[in-house]
Amino acid sequence: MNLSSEKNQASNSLFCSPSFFNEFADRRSWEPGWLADFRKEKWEEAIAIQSNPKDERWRFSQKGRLGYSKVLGLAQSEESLSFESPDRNGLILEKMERMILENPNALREVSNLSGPGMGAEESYLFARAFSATGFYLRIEKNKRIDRPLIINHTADGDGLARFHHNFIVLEPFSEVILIEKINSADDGSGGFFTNLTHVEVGEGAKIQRILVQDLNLKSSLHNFENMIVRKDALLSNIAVHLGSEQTRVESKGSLTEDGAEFENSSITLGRENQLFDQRTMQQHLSRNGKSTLTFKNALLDKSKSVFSGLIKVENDAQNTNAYQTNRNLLLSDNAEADSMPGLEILANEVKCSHGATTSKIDEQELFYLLSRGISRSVAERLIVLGFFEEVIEKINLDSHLEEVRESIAQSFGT
Amino acid sequence: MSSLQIENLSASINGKPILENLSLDLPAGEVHAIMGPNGSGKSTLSKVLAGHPDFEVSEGSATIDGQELLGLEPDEISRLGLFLAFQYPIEVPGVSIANFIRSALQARMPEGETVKAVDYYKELYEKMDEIGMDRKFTARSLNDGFSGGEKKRCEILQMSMLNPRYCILDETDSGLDIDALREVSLGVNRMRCPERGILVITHYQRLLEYIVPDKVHVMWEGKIVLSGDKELAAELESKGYDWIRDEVAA
Repeated sequence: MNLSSEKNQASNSLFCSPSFFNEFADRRSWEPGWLADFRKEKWEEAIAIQSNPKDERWRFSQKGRLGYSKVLGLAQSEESLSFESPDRNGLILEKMERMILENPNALREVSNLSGPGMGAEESYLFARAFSATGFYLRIEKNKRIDRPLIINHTADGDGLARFHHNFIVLEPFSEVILIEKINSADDGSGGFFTNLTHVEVGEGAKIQRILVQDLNLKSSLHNFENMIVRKDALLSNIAVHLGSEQTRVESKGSLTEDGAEFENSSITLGRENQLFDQRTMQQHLSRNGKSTLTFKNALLDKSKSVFSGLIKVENDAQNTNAYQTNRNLLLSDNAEADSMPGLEILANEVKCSHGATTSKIDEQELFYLLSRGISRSVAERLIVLGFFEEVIEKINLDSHLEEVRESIAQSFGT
Repeated sequence: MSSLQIENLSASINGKPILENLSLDLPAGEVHAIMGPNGSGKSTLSKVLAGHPDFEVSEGSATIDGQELLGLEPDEISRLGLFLAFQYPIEVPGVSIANFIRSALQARMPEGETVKAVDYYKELYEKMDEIGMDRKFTARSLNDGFSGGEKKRCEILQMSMLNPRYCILDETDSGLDIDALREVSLGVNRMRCPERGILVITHYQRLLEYIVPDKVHVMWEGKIVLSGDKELAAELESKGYDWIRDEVAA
């Protein structure tokens, strides 16, 4: 793809039209001035971006598929987010629009959180300019939330775009399990969904976040995550990607204080013409940090995955222990997986390893299953579920473990 | 009459002939043993019957109770009632024994019916107790990190859960210590019944002291060259396979 066609791509999008932005801003004239200014600033930055056709951060991907040139408008309905949270004691869980009205200062405090910034800046900036909803979650200091919080994101069809911007803040020594589900409003038509999430895990706090994405196969998804893990805190982030026609994931965890622990896991089942473009970073900024990244992709039909991951250990991050692995299982001759693991180490006392493998289904394994009367399609499903099990078993909730296995099995059935 | 009947079977791998005009009749209710030196084609026979895709059948037929097996997919052959206990059971990470066997049983259910979990676990635990397998194995990944004995026990567990009409045990004694050999043999003997035929493939006579066969066949260069009763195994053990070579040459 050359420079001019990429430039066209951006300017072809509705989002680049000044009148489109101005109309959007007018509709939101009730918002505080700082937010209006912030949106304008981000929109202008997005317009100013010049794509570099040789951008390494898009290597092996199909950037054109992840653009906004076919967007028909912004989704207006207010039903794209719902919460299942039986007990609100010790936490704040609000939709963004209510936060803007009722608690703008809390929002302003976190508005300086930025990133991940791993290549899809245009989409990121549009998300910051146009996000009309999303959630704000804050767990109070020392509070342990016993029952998991469930947040449902619903993406629109009819070529409409929706941007969710979410903040998850754990005050020191708090604890929570969060389940996020991203689904389409219906199977009929595709839309453009962007989910931008900023996470801050305070000292000694613990969170497990489980994201299950099962959009319809006509949708586009950008899933941005920028996560900060502080002193002795633990963040376990687990993503399950089943749906969407094309997905760009940018997932960055920064271990900013001593003894932070970050676990980032992902399983993806690709089928038909699906594209999964995954960019990750484990950034070690302080001592005694531990990070583990496990991204597993199983690809059927003509699906494709691109994984690019970096472990970055800064000068001060002595005694870091970091691990990164990307494993791809190809179930079809037409499926494709590209993998680019990477290390950048500036400290001298570290233990780091990374690895990537891409393999086809093992014929002996398959024969063994078949020889017990299990049909080929069921055998493949069992092998894929087995391949994913290393990640699935990290889920701390038995009830949800089964649900995830079931969703994956169902994706095979359609 | 019900039997596993192999007639004039010839098969090759990558153009190299392994089985040549092999014929064998295993009636239901009997246990037959196939003995033979390494490379005589014993394991190939078991894999060809189970439908392994690496082998090419050039001639012959193999039927169970009159139904042709050759040309069918491995899963179809299994559902027709043939069970192969592997010499080297395959490790399948992430697939639990319980889920695996349940899937195999499910594949045998009529459309629209599902295996009932309560009944299934009751039977599974009973059989595991019989074979001497710890119940916590149900949650473990299939053969993953198992010892030789645990793998073979797991094969016998599958065999007894799937209730096949004909069983082929491919060198089930290999890699077993004497205690495991005894327990695995007990498991096989429990499956002996008038409706079922069992074919025991082994290199050594030792296994046949525990699983006493009705007939013994000796395999040499891809075919059965000698058949007899259980005494043949003892004779073979004392005279060695060189004796067979001389017999064949004669």
